[in-house]
Amino acid sequence: MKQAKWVAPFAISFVSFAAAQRPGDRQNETAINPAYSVQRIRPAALSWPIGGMDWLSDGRMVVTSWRDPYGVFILSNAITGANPTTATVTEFATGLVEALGVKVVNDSIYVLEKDQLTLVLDNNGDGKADEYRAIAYDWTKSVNEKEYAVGLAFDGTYFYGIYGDPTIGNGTSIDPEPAGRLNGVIRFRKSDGLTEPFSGGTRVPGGIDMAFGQVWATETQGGYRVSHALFIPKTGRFYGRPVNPAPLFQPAAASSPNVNPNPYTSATQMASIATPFSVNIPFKNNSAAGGGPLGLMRMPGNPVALATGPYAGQMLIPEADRETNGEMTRVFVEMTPDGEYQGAAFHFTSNTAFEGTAVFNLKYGPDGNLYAGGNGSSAAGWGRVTNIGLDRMRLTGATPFDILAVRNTGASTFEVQFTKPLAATLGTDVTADLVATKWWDRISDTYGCCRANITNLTVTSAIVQTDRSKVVVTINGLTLHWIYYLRWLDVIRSDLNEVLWGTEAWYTLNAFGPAIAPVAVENNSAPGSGPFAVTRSAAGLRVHVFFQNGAPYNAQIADVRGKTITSHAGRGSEEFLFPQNALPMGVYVLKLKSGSRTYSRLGFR
Amino acid sequence: MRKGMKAMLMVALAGGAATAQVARPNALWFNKVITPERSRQLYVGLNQNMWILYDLPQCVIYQAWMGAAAGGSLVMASVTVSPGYWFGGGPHFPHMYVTSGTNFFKDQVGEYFATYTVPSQITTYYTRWPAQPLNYHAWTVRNASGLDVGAVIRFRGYTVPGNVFTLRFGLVLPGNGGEITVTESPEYSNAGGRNNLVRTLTFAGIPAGYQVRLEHLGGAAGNWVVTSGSATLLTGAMVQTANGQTILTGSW
Repeated sequence: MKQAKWVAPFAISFVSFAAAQRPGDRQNETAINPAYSVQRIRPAALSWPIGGMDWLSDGRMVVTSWRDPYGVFILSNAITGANPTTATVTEFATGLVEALGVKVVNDSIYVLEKDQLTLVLDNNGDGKADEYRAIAYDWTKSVNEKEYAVGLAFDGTYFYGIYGDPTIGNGTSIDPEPAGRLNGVIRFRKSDGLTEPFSGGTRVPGGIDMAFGQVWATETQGGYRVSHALFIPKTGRFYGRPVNPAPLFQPAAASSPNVNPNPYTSATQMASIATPFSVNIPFKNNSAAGGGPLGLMRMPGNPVALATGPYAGQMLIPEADRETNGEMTRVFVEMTPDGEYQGAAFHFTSNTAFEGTAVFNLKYGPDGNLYAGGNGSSAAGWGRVTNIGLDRMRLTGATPFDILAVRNTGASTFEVQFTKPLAATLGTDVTADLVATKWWDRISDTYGCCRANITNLTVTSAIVQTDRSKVVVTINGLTLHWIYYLRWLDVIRSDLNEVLWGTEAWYTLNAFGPAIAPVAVENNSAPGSGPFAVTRSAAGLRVHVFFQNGAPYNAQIADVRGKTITSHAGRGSEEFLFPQNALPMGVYVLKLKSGSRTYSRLGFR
Repeated sequence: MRKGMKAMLMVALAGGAATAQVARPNALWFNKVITPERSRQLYVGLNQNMWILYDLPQCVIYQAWMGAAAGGSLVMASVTVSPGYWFGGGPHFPHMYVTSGTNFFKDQVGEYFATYTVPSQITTYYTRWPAQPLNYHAWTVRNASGLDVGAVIRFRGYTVPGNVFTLRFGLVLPGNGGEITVTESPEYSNAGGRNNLVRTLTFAGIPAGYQVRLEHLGGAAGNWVVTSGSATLLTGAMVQTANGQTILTGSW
């Protein structure tokens, strides 16, 4: 495994080649980010593309197959152990329709099919489903195959699925659309299946998941999409892709393509009609976009919030298409003063790390590692093969020299933070080492088109701050709803003389900062360390603490941005339970404080 | 159906419910599929000589056929559906189910649209996709005055213990009038040397004086007979007025 991008002793002579591209600098990564290792864990019996993934409370993995016939399979909990390829694979349910979403709630398995939300039950306890209970199906579903339903996110009350519209060649939508078809987000109340259209204007969804206590979703480049998109679906919002006739949430100003295939005329006008995305993630090929820098990925999977490691508090988005040069992408987001999110996309890891396939699902496992489920894509596009991937991503303990974050701090300033201090030899003024470009994504019915008004910017200044890990960048005249591309020349070095893992950042600017600062997430203790043990069950999270001499302690459950959800105070050695309904959906952190010591551990629901 | 045949069928079916795993023609004997006509379809292979397709939103069997071991096949959609409208870009992989064999019957069924659909959009849609009947209701409920109360069909799912398939659904009465629950277990019988589709229906929650009507039996009404229970066949519909079990049998 490639651990870091070290400068060889003789590399000083290479600096003159700084204009040459290399992985992470105007080229896609070709290796695994040094912060992680990737292990093949696919049992041989698992020989089909993975549609959805989740976990039972006893550590078994639940996966849905993306292959005729569509089914639900259960992998024994050896999948998280030392010999994961020995995990048994048992068919639990079959006869479903494109089951691209699965969510386990209190050990009950909910499956989102293209046409239905289904609760799959084993009433007689023989290990096979014997009941397929229809929870919800109140959405129009024609015979068109691209009417995807992707999920499932669950916020404790509602399930959320995200839906594509029926498209034909080159991303053009069918006209007229099937009556009542909603290309957007639909949510379903778990208690009674109440179905509520939630938001509109999406195209081909990539994934939807809980992060930072909210539902996040991704969208795919194509018709009315220059870039991929990461966003928080909100009630009643419209996200830009009009169809004919207009479905719910599509405003009149968003002309359908049969009336005007180019309804958006400026960044500001577009933002007044369609809710801006939090982060536009550049498509890996820039030709359809009309030029500008190369991008990162071909199709996004579900977003995952990281709770540990050097990128804690950020998100990873897997590459869901088998694009040889595509990347699992990292995203930093910050909350703007108006309560929305915006942020930047970065290089992260070559897609080739995952068995030569694409990763549609990325999920935390009960052991705190990430699990990447392959979707069987055999080539760029939509072919499917059976030799798919299932891989485990572990933190290595290494921290690459990288752009950690880009923050907007005002109408003319960004703050760029690196994972390590910059080399002293760079001095304090690195203005000449930064290239900046901006454009806005003028979406239209033309596939993947186009970046509008691509403009090279003058960097007024880029000044290294006292701790040498941050640089304040001044660019006069920043404009809202544009995308800012920042590239550091490949002369930037850390204080250990490392080159950058990735030199580029793509920042979506929707509101001027400074942002609302998140609470820092503390580093995780490895399972088995610290004066406590945890056991997960359907009842909740049972914690056994053993502080000596009756020492007082405080236990907290926090989200990945550090917000305390619930807490428990006690003394000495004892057990207590955080009930299931007290745990936040998605990833959370258990913190234990006693005296001056703090311990923390990742969990998920 | 003649009386003699009805008696023969009743004897054949009186053997009691199966307790062991019922043999089916294919390991994948029930499967939710998309057909060239519509989505939300479920085939059930009861026997090599009796395959059926349910339209799930309508909770109705609209096709029955002699389908051999597989009943049909999954094909690339563009093979069977006009690519110019539905699949101009070509399908991603096989997922459309096309039946094969000899039909006993195949009816048209109305399309399901989301409840929040603007009615005018349905009219627009049918300008390009006019194959399915409008205002189709497989099941209706009439009150004591004989008026259709506008019950909403609510598909609830299905169970498959022991390879016995049972469809579950409800007929939701307006104005918080409750829900009539219905189950249907289809089975194959070769009684009388014929191919028989034996449908065991159970009803609960029928208000006094109300009648539940299966408006579309499947194919010609003359092929069907009530072999057990209180239902009657009336002008092409099965009419149920009391809670309990009814067995409806079709023969070909």
